[in-house]
Amino acid sequence: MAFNNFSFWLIYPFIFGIYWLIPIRFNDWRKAFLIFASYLLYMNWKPAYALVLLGVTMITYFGGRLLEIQAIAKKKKRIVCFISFLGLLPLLVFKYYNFLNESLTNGLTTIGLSFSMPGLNWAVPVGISFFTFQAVGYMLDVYHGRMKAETNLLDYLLFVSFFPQVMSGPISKANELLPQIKKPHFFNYEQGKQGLKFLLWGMFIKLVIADRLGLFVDTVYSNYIHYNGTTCFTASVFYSLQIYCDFAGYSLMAIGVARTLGFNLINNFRRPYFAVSITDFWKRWHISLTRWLTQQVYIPLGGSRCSKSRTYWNIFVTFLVSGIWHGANWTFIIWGGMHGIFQIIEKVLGLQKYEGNSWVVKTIRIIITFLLVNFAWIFFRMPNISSAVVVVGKIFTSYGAPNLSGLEIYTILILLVALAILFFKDIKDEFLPTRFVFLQKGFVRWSVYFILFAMTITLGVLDSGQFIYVNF
Amino acid sequence: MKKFLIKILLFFISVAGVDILYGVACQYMNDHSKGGGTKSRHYTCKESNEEVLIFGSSRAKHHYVPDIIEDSLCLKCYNAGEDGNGIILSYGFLKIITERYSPKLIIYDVSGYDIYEDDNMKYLDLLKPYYREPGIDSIFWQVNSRTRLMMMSKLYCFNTSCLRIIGNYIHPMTNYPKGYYAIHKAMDYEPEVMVREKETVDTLKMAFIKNFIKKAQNQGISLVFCVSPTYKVEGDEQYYDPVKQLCEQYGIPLFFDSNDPEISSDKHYFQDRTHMNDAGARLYTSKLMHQIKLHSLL
Repeated sequence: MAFNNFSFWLIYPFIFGIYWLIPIRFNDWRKAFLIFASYLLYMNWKPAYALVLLGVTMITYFGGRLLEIQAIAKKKKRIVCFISFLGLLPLLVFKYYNFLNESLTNGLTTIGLSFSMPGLNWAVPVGISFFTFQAVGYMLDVYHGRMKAETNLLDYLLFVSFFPQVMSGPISKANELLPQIKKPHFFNYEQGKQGLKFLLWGMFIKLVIADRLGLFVDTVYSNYIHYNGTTCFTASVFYSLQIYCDFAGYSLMAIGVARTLGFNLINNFRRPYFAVSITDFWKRWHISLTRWLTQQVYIPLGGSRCSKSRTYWNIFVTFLVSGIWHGANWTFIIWGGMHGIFQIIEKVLGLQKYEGNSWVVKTIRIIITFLLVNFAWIFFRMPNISSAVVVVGKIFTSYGAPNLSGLEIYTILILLVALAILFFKDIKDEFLPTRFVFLQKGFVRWSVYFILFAMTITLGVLDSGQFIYVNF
Repeated sequence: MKKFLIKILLFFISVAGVDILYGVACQYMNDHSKGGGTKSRHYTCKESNEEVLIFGSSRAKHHYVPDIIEDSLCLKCYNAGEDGNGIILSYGFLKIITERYSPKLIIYDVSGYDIYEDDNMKYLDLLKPYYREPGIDSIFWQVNSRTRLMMMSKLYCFNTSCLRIIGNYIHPMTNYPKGYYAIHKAMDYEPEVMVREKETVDTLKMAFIKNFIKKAQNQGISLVFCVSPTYKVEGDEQYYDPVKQLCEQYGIPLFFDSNDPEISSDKHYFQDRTHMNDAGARLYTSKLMHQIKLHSLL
């Protein structure tokens, strides 16, 4: 169940209340309750798919145990390959079967062979890419000796199914979350307060900014053929902001909810559109996925401790995997490939970092990075490559005033105010963290909370708006 | 924990206070709107007294010219169509209107919003200010039972619409004479043919159409369903089948002009594939009046 679902907010106070009411000496009961709540919320979507979640959990749990008792390296490798395949199998079947099937059929048709397998008309289990990567990541950590296998099934069940993160991450590392699960939690006022602040800000950027921008983006992209290049470019910039506010919003809500229950999850975003290079962008965007891919794909491939050409190849492969992870479509693969190529070019030119003090250079680099990321998002957003190519072509060839008729004047007003708040906060956090001390004063702080909450309820797009990343 | 809960409680108490004040202010501005959509909806619900009313989506709003209807039928007419809306809103409006009076004729322009599954919550948006009117709450509950709780908050009730309401109260930028919204732009491109895809019929919407028909029949209102012209849209025959069947069942006339040979072949009558401009609307309304007279519906 998503955080922007009204039912969640009816259920959550009970989860919060019951969790903290269970005495600390019954910590196992607390965990059992959280597992129960997590599965209950997960089953709200399609109850049968909880079995997939449970299956992946069990496979990786026992896989981890098996790996630990196996001393022979060769056998260990075979086990990890087999168990990883089993763990990834639901993901491959649910998410990639149709894509592989269609690609194979189309490929064979082009060389004159006729072959087809039946397609699957199944919905993809929510969050499957996230919980599968988290579970398989744990097993690989055990294999590489980065941590010991978990022996407590209860702890491990909660590690994989923990409801704030099961649908859309962040992808936690076992050595970060499992120790927190084992430790009994006392309520911490500061942590709880921090959690609610994250929750409020996440809600605000998701409901007021992302979903409202989405209305315009959907209008233009679903009829891109009728819009000029300037409008398509405007929609692409709006989409860049939408996906940031949508996913960062979700992550913040997940972190916020987890904090109110005493858990600290990894911060998934660090103002990515202030990145000075694409390399820098990936240190700020979906940090938990970047970290997972670095550890489980890039480093095992050789990382940067090899020849230059091999390093470039490793970067490219890692970002192809990132593209495939996002979705079973050539558009995602191209998107991932583009990010890989951008980073290789940066590395070749030595542009991956900027440590100078020139504001002009920094601003220019931020703008160029944003435009490159924005360009790649077009492929990410469009349903197929040909439509993405048309949109890109229009941007470069069809000029004119942007057509904002899909936006009411009131919507533009709301967006201007909300985006100004977002930019102010991000600029302050990024460049002026010690300024605007008056914002910390009690009255000002509470006024800000109040205004953000009221704006979310009155101006947010309620009743609809799924999170984009939940589909992955 | 105690400090934490007390602060949350205080926060929500102050939110509740603001919620009440905000609700009173928004309701007042909604009821005293000076123009725009807010005014036309309020007029439809609380002030209309015309003998002929038009219902439906944006296609209704743009396709039926009240002046022509008035001249043809010698009856006063008001266009109560609403952009992006369908039977859920229309049924609500009909319930509110019939609390005051019964029009003689209702022309209902049918669209996909009346038949097929999508997010029904969005159709409640414009009905929210009228939640307290007799019989309206049950429409909300049928769409989503959780609205019983949600509608307790006025912040939610006037969500998104507050700026529009304020704007239409202070300085409305648009006005729709007799509810009709004329489009003065003709299509300057040649669209590809759009083939209607098979969609899932929404049983709740079908139930609302039945209720709408029964309500009209019980009040002695003549009802006619119409499908106005489209340009380069194929498959409308099957697309509107569920409504056709209901019309046969209840003996309601359905004027199916989706492929009117004179209008549907000329893109100059259209703004896009599914919306006629003023020239198209005038021609279509005249032709429809001719049909209505032929069938002696009044």
